[in-house]
Amino acid sequence: MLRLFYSWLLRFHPARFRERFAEEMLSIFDHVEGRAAAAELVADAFISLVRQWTVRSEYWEEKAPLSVIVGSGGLPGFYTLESFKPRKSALIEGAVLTWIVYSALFLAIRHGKIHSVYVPSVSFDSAPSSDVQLPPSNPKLRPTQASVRPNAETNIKSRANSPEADRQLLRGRRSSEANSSAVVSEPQEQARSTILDKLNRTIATTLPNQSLSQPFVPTRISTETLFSYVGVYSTDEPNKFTIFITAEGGQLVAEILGKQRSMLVPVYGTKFAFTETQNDWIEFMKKENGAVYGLRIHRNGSEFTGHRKSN
Amino acid sequence: MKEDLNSFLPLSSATLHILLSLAGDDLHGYGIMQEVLRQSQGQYKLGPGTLYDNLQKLIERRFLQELGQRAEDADPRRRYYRLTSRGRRVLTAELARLEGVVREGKLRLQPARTRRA
Repeated sequence: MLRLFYSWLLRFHPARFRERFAEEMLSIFDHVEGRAAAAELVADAFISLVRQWTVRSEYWEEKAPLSVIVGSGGLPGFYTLESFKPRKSALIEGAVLTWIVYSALFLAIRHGKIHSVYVPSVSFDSAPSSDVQLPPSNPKLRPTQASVRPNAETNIKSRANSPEADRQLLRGRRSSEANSSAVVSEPQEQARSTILDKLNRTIATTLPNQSLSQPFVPTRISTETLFSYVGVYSTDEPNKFTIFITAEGGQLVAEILGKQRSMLVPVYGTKFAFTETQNDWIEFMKKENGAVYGLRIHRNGSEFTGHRKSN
Repeated sequence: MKEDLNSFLPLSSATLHILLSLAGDDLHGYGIMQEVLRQSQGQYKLGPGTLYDNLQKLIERRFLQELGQRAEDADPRRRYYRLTSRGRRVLTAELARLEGVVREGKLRLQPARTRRA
């Protein structure tokens, strides 16, 4: 009985120790005489078992014996690696390698060009830090959406809701935006370069709320296409008003002077949604040669058609 | 160039007794246990678990060499072990260290009058 228990204890030793010394230890057990001596050896084997699994971790590793199972036809069935335990350093290296691979994967996903999620890249400036000074008389204006070019301040400050003010503002904008041969100042050129750099990145987004009549699909807009929509549009009677379409930070901005200013998010084709209300949208109309000649505005359940007045 | 074996010193009691038991002749595990018991005059009893744990360590350090089984032995499961020259050097170094300890101990334990004289 004690011998059986002793051999059972030996069987639970680490494989390397067991294969090398178990037979000899059992041989010693067979040579001792007396029950007391045998009990001492059992106690010794138990202590040895604890010691081998606690303080002798360096001997756990072994040269893994390769077992070949011969299947039908004399071909090897499969291989087994008995009692294989990887090295601690291998585990640490594996953990580091896994972390690096996953980090690279997440970075690639994060900075990939095509996103299938709706992440509008709109930067909102708070009202006090903004360059825009909005007329206090009009409470409908949204100061949190203001983001203007350096030379726009004077235009906005002096503007009024009149055709002359519209023309003045447009002149100011066109001087910094249009790809003309006019001489521009250095800050203007820097601002223009920044905007162009941002526009060089392809935009592809979808809206989370499918409130438009057609299903959303990722839309790619090149820099040229984005600039082709920029201009001044005027709606037809009886609801006549002027809407300015500009490009800022790689996105279109629609502004009705003195009333509203909104970022536009590309949805599909020539349709753009307003960022703050996904039920409202603008669709640009193009001729067969691709020239944009007008737009349709769907806003608060009403629809307006406008024609392009100038680029 | 001689290897500096002082990093292995002092040896544990089990290691010292095992090396000492193999200093005279090659022995198998049970023989080592018997020899340790004899050398220590029955005061130090080495169990198989402690013995083979130390044997494993000493073979790794190349203080001992495993000779394998001997055909003439009654029990074919027994394997024999031999002290290597490296093991002998480390044993010599340990005995020299112990001699110094004994000498110092004897000096300190002498009666005060003898020391003054």
